[in-house]
Amino acid sequence: MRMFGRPRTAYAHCDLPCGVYDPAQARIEAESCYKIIEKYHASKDEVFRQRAVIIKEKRAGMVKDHLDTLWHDYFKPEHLEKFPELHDLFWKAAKQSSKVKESLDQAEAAKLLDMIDKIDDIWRKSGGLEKSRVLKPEKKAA
Amino acid sequence: MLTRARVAGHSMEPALHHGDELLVLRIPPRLGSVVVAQDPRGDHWVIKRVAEIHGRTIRLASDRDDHESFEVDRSAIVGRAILRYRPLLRRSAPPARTGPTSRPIRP
Repeated sequence: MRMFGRPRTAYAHCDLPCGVYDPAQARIEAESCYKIIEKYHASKDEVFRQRAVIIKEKRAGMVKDHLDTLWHDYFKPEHLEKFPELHDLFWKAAKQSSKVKESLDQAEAAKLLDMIDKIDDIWRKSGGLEKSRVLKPEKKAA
Repeated sequence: MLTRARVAGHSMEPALHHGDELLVLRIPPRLGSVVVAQDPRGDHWVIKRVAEIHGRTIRLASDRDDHESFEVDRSAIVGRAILRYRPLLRRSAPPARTGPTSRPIRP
């Protein structure tokens, strides 16, 4: 019986965990937010600006989803032991995704990219590239 | 008999959201009910809705249509989600759905 402490996680997000995880997915969406904010400020077309906000909010939500999947499905307790900063890093990156969603400040998007890069660094150190990507033949040989 | 689970992911929306916490009672699955099960493909729990019951074989499905369903043996069922206690109430109620496999979980 588990009535005290943290409840156990029951996963709802992936019926068939494919085993492919890469922070690059989150980075692409975060880069998109970064560039959209730039285009928003460069434009005087109100319709374009409104569309930019809508798309940017959607992409920022995708960043959060990708980070969430990476955190829950790829990283394991042994990674947390080896990289104790992981939990804080993911927590801050999720918060930053929300900030980018509501903000039109490009500096906030830059901060999010920086956080994703730190997660990427740990993912690589944990062997993520070899374990959870299908590499091109020449990269395998390298 | 009673355990707790926290939802991770979005495949059970709109009935259950990421971060929701539930009471799970170790009672047999019923068609249309939300259950927690041991994932046969890994050492973790999944939360799904019972779509079909064929003897000992239970087909589990997500509420969102973009996820595939899969089968588990009855022994993999941890229990039935009987109450969402966090949040107890949600402002936007799940839309009305039809069919035995798509009833929202009772809060």
